[in-house]
Amino acid sequence: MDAIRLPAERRWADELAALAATDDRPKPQGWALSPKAAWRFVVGEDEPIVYTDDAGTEQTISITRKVVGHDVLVQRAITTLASDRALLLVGEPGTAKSWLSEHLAAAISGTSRHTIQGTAGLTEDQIKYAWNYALLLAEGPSPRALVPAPLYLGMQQGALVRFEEITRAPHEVQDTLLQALSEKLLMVPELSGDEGLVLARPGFNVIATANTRDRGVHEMSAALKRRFHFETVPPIADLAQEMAVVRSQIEERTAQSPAAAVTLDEGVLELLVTTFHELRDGRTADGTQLSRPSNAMSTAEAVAVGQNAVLQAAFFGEQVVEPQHVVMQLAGTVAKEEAGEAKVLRDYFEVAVKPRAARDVGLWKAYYAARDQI
Amino acid sequence: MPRKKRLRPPSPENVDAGVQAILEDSGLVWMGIKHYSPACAIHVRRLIEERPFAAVLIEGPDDANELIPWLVHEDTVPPVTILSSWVDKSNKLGKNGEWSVSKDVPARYRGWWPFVVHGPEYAAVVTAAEREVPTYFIDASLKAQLPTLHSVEQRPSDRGLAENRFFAELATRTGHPTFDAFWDATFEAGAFRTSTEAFRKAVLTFAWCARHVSGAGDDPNNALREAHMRSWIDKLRKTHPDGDLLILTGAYHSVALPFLKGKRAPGKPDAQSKTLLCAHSYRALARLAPGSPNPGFGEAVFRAARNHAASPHQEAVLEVLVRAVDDLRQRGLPLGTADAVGALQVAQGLAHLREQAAPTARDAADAATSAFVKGDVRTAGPEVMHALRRALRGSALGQVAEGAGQPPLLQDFYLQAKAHRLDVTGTERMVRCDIHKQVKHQEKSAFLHRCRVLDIPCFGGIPDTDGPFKGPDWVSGDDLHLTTETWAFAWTEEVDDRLVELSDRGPSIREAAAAMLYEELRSAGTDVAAVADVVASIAQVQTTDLLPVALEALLAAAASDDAFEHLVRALEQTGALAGYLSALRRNIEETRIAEASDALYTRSCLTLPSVRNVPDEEATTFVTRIQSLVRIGVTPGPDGSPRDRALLLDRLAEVATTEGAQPMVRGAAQGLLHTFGALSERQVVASLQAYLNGPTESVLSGGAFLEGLLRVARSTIVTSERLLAAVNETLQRLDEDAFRRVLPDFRRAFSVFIPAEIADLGVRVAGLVDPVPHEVLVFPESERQWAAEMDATIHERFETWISSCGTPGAG
Repeated sequence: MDAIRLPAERRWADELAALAATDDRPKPQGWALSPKAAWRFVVGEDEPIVYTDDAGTEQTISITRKVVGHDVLVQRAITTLASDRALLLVGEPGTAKSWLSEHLAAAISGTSRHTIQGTAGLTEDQIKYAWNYALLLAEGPSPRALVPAPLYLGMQQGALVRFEEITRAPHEVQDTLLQALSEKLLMVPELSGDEGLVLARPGFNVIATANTRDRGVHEMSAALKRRFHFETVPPIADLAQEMAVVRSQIEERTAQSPAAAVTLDEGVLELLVTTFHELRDGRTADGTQLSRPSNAMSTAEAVAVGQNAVLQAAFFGEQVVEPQHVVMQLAGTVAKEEAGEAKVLRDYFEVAVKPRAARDVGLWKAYYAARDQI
Repeated sequence: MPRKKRLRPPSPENVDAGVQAILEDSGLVWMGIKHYSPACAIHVRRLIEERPFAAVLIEGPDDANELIPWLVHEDTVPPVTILSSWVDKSNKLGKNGEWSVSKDVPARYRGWWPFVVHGPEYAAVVTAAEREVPTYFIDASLKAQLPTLHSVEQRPSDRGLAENRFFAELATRTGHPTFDAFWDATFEAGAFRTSTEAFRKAVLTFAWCARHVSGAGDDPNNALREAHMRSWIDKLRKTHPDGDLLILTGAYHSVALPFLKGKRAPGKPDAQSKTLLCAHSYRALARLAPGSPNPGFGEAVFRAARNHAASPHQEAVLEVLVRAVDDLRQRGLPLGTADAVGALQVAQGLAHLREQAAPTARDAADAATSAFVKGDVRTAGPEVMHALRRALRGSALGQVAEGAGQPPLLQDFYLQAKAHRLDVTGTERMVRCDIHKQVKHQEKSAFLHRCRVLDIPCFGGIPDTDGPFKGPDWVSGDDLHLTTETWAFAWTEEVDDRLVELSDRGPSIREAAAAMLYEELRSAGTDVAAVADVVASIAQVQTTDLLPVALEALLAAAASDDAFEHLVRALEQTGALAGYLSALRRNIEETRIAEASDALYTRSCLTLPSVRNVPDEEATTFVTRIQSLVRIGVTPGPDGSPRDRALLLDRLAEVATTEGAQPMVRGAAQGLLHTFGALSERQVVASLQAYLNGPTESVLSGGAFLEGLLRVARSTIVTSERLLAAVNETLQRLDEDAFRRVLPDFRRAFSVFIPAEIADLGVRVAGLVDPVPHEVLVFPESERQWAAEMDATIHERFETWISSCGTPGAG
């Protein structure tokens, strides 16, 4: 299908089918896969799966790793979703919280589409249900006139509901979830009898995300917090793992473009990821203190910088990403909050890059030479 | 570099054959265990209950066999520990100075064999006693192990298994972070649904693979102990020829012992050896014993299993989660029973996901992270994790039957506490000691200071202080004006653990404190300030019999330490020491103290010129030290004899006349010499002018010189017109940029003056700037009249305006 991006359940349909076909472990009611199979889907595995598809043909497929470095966290998240508590993934922006939430929903419910996007303008009807006003005026309140929103659908179908950036939504709107999470029901007072009551089917639960930079924008109520188990998703701690993630994401994003043939040397990738890693940590690998930018310097942003560098090499370069391409893309990422923050990046080049350039380590000399591009 | 031998997977046939040979060993029943394992404890109990044994042999020190009746005594409550100690007074092992602070401080060796209610060793001893089966400890004693020890501490551990390459690879492949997590998931979680024979075989199989795949290594301690244990087994086989012997050792040994030859380890207990049964605590166990981080959890599992719970681990997980919630609620976190239930659900789910038969301590910790941390785990997580660790650890305190004998140090502590009427119930009490008037209070003060030196956790905190004590502190030099001491005494459950740890240092608190201070004295080496601190401590804890050797060490350190600041600090300490002993009316070692003080004074004077080169950032500290030395130099020594003032002035002059000396230090030296009349005002001003008339950098140094000068000789210099004029002239001459640069230093220099002095200086400087006094302005009469009329008019207009504002409707 011609789409920029497919939802997880469609993108990994083969893997999910293979896991479902070979899943011999007990499943919680309403789950598409067992907890173990859902975990294997997210963290991947080395051994390929051999299974027989619906057409009776034997297939072999490898389960790719979707999330790096958080295997135990994923276990806890899946286990929480099998309990009567909802799951809240918290962490810095760009730490793959939404990515994890999408893949968990795809594995557990077979769909990741029951998604509420938290914004300052979010209203209750965008969470629960709204009305088709033409029908409402013509017929009065009726199930036909009701337009179900993600929470309604998740409860009705017994599926996971994703609530992205929950703390960006106002308090009163967040608290819409209270009854659904504690009593597992949703009232539609405009409808009478059973039609006015949605009882959640097994498999229903909520995965919310919140980034720690927005803490305090709309802090959750204590009552709502109690209905969630929190999981903090940290940035990837291992440089090599982060490099692998950045490379695979860049390749995936540029696969269908003229930039697919561009060479991204491992040394250039190391410059990019090391810069993000060190600025995020506020110190270099050898322990020298650095100023931290207000931006989170997430893996997702490293991917964006890498992707832009590849595109630049494709469109304006010689089909090979050079250190200067990375430098040119960095300034806009680091100095997002205010232009003065470019100084943080310039300081980084003086404190961390210059000594490496002086020792002529790898491509650091060329990287340092390109610092005027900041 | 030698290549690492590649691990070869064991052939299943070989493993089976090896394990089968152990299981079929005639007359010997090998039970491989993991120390502190509830699963092993339950199966050991079952084994002894189900099969008749002629004797039970246990991995424990054979010099503690006499303690077995006390271990199973009805008044003994675990956790308890066998504690062996040996002090190498004559350096037989040659480790003194290497494993102790110096050659003349004996290395102290200790061995601990803890017994917990959920441990297989305790289960074996108790069950055997119930069945009247003789029990023996068969391991080499601490004394016998000494030549092969790797450190001064010896504790039962599962190092053989835990640090094994076979295990490391196995754990990685099965996704377990540690040996304990692997063991819990594999052997503990499902143990209660397994038959004892199957469990025994599984443990032996694992141990066989661990030992035979990656090799036993060449640890001489291991070899010595195993040969010794085997010699006991052979001996007891002859003693009990008619029945089976149950042999309970760490699984790592169980798979080797059947195939070894026995050899008794030499080394019998001597006068320096002690082996005792002592009370222990889970807190100490978790801290000191490898492999037992969660004794509270282990006990909960064992208790639930003994009560035939369907899932002992699940019961135990629930217990620790509820305990953690209670703990956190008391600390103000809004958690409730529903959260504990939620966490239990997660723990069960994790166990299921991890393919375990039941949740373990690791699952409980993960579940608590999910369910109790309401926020970012980096900020909200540590408090939850601490509460969970406390719950997993438990808080049990052991007890030893009366008559078993306690370490004398423990007895002495409680006897003394009683004699000084100190509350040992755990309630914090304020204790006052009037050390100048009452001998009893002096004794109480000494006891409390000794406890403090020994780091016995029996103190609370005094408000507005950093610690448990407020009063004259002769070590730090704080509050020497006070006449009474106030102590916050608060006995804690950890007191006994600490006393047990210290028990090899001496039979009484006094002797233990003296031993500790002696070690500190040796650690201080040639740092004369550190030695002087120890000397002050010795006086404060009133172990004055140590004073001669301490003073000797002080004299030796004074002769070799060239650091001026160390010498002055030691000199101050020695003076305070003399005063303290005099205040207590303890006129001891007066001659030696005077001798030390004299030597320190001389050495301080001799090293004084070294301060010329101190870094700028340390100059203030050194000026203070020089002032201290001068203060001491002008007062008589402890024996009343005058100090050598000429030496002091001579060395001060060396500093004062060195042009390149650090300027603040040089200024201070000149100020002091001027105070003594050894340097004229003109000379001081000339030095200052030399700085001030130079380039800007030199003027900056002038600021520092002036600061040093004013710090030590403020009152003399304040009257110096020449000095003031020199400063004024310089400041007037400087351009604006230079003035801005030197301003902070000059400002700081003059900050030594009080406001009244500043005002006085201001008037004098005004005189320098404008020597003509201001005349009073006299106005003509007509102008004065005009001004008075204007004033009256303005006054009238204001009155009118104010009254109109108060009228309703007025604008």
